[in-house]
Amino acid sequence: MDIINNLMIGFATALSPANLAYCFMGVLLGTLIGVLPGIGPVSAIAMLLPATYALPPVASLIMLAGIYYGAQYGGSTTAILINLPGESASVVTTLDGHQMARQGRAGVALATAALASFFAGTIATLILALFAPPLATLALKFNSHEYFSLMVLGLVGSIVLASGSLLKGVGMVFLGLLLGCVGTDVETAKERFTFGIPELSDGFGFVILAMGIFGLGEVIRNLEDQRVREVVSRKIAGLMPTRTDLKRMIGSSVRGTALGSVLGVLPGGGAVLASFAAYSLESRVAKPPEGFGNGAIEGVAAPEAANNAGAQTSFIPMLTLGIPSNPVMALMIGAMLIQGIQPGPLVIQQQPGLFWGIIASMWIGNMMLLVLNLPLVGMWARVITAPYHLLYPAILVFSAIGVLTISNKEVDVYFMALFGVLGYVFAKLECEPAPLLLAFILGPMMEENFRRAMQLSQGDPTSFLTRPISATLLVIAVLGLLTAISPAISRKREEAFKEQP
Amino acid sequence: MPNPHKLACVTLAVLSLGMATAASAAYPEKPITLIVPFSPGGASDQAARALAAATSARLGANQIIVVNKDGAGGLIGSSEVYKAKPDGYTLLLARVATHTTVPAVREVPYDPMNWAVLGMLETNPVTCATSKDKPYKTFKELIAAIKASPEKITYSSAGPGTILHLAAVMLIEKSKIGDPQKIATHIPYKGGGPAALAAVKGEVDFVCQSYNEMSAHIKSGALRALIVLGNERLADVPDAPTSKELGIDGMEIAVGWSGLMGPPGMDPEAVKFWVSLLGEVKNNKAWQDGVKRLGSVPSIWSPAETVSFMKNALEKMKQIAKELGIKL
Amino acid sequence: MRNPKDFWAGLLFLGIGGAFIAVALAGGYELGSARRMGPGYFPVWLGGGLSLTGLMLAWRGLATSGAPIGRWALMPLGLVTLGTILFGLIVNVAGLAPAIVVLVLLAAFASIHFRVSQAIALAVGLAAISVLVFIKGLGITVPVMPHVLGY
Repeated sequence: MDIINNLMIGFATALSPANLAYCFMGVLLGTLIGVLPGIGPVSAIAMLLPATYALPPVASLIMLAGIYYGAQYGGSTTAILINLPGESASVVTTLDGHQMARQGRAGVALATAALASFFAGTIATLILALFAPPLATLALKFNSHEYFSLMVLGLVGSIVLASGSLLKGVGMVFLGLLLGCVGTDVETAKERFTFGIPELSDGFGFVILAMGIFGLGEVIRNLEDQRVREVVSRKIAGLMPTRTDLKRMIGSSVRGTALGSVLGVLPGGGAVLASFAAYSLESRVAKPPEGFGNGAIEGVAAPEAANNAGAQTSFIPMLTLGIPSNPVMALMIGAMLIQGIQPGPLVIQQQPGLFWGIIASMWIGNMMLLVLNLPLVGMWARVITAPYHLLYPAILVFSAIGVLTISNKEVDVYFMALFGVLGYVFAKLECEPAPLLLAFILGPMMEENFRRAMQLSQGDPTSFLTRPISATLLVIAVLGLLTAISPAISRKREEAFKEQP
Repeated sequence: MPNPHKLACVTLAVLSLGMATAASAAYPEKPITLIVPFSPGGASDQAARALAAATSARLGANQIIVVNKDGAGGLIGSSEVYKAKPDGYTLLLARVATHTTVPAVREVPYDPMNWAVLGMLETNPVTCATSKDKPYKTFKELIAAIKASPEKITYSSAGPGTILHLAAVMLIEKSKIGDPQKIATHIPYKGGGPAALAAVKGEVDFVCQSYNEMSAHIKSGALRALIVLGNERLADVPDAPTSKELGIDGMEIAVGWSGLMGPPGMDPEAVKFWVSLLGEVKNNKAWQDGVKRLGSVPSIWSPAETVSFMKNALEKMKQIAKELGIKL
Repeated sequence: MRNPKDFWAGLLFLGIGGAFIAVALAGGYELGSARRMGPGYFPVWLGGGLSLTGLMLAWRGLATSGAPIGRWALMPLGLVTLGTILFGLIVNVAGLAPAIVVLVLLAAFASIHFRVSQAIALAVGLAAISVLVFIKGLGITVPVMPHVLGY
């Protein structure tokens, strides 16, 4: 069979001692840098890119890919331990992951993230090997109409994300959409809500918003009643998942992987949706005894699997069509060009060793991540049992530096402080921030694609329904909305999200 | 507000009055920050990193450090360098956007002509391309189609007032087939990548963009290059005619470029150093090959040549923007 | 008012929604139509949606009962925010090390376990680690210390 031949070529390349070493270095560096709050895969790759110029092409790409998913994994570690999401994908991981950590199950949460990621990585590698070309054409079928409908579906899912009051969830979605309006309007280049501040002309950075609302807000809230409440349970309730945990993880990982693999292929917006979508789906399908938002293992496994699967399948449009589906892939294309490789359909034919080598190295890299991180789980879990009054100043310092490194602007630090205040207010008023963050990501893309779609179809709104993919997505969205607002289901939903003690 | 940097410098100067040795050290005596006013991975970032690599052997311990400071269409990074201390340790990777197109259509917080111009680095000729599935085989066919069905033919850009937008409008205007802003429909996207992708998918009918941003799609055959703007054909797409060959003059100003600049009043020692170093880079084979691989044209020009090119391009762009009423 | 959390969340939404509408209208963001939306269309509708949600929430806060908001941790809130802002003000002017020291000392003061000696040790330790990791290791371009100290 062709596929076996191809994978053989790939493993032969990836398993050469030098490439193994580069893969390991990439994964290791990526994990270490990704653990720093605010430094996500893009910053990590941009920082380490020059180091790869001197390497041969295959080695350089294998190392960069390693940095990519290493950094992504490292980001989950901070999200779980200290409630600091370093990038969009790890926002949802904080919801249940950090709750698990607070209950003394940090080790289990980290191990779950590692295992679910590895599982997703394995499946996504197979998908990549088997279906790369057909999946790539999916990327070409998504035009403005389809993206708009996808965003609508995502928005419906975001309301489901809200635990507690539905009305507050809706309000947070509106607020997120409004915050997303800040910046330059794509169609007319008019600046909106920037008050003449040049740094606002591209809007608020997502990481800044997320780190302020989640990270800083959380620190302030923890300082509220220090005498009464121990922030994190001191006793560590097991480091590794039990058999029951593993059983609960499997279904979630499978669903997360499936969603993530498909969404990862879509350029611009697909991959960021993956973890949110997986969490929303999970909160519909799974029934954890403790309820979502209270440390459900499903709420860690599904988004982590989706995230990792999406990260891998986002290589498909890049390798097969030369289309970067996210900023990381844009950097990878730059790296390939510098190495004299033209990304596109010809890569598979002309450089099979390179193409399949990268795919094989992804699986190897995921395995290395697992081997590297499982032993560290105990160490990380101990880190957060350190006295909180020593831990939180460190969290603040790393957050501030992390935000500064994103685009070297100190105003971002001020914005983060501002969002920290907002995050604390939200916490006091019991407004869940996750829907706000998802709406913040979706809003600008939704508006842009809607306006463009209308322009392209000469103002005909039925064009959203006459295009099959767009129509399907909208129908699913409407069904989702109906079940969300129908009282019977919403009662169940309230049950699923019991208010936090 | 007192400038704390200055305060610190004065203090330092007072402290070291007795030791004049520091002043005699030759430029550069510490690493040089090169600000790229756009995000990592783009054409400007690549140009900066290529320059850093080409000068690393010569600069030794005082390397170029590339810092990406993106935002506001390049204005944030550019204004920061404009206001920086002109000691030669803060330089700007200037782009067509920061010094030509954006100043042509809106107010900017600096004078685009008042910089310490060290030289041009590379140029990115603009090509207009269409999806392989579209019926237009030549530029003439495209123009005929626009004329035949007004407002139906669409083109993508990275936003109003970008080189992608202005180049297309200029081209249509010079083809004299009707109101250049009405006869074809302008569809803005968020950045050059999505604009090119829209043409690949066939969501829009054509796109005019720097060749290097589309080289992957053109080489793979997903996009068909119809015309190269300017006077010289591109080695990578030898079959695409130039605008000059098709009888359209004056399109050579619609070109992407990257140059090296310092703040106004930059230390003459440092200026001299860079002009002579760029002269060396010009003949660096590895640098030339690297730039070509990325789909750009190595074009190290003297400061005088660069300034006269910029001046001409800025004036013409301003005039075009005014004639067409493009003002942001 | 019987459910202060809902009530104040409602007022917050109402205020923010109203502010967005006001800025959009005052700034002259064209509304356009649903077929051809201007830059103001989307934000104005969203602002309306947020205000409406806020109204409903505030009304619910008056009508239903719920738990009180509880004491606001104004001291930690002020110290953490101030420390972070000062960090941003100091870092590019005086350097990373003093910025970290200021942030850590201010923030640590918010804890009931605050001890001067421990806080100073923590500040110096974090400054040293950060300089090593971020400036020496990752090569970010901020100064380490004020120039006067001649690093």
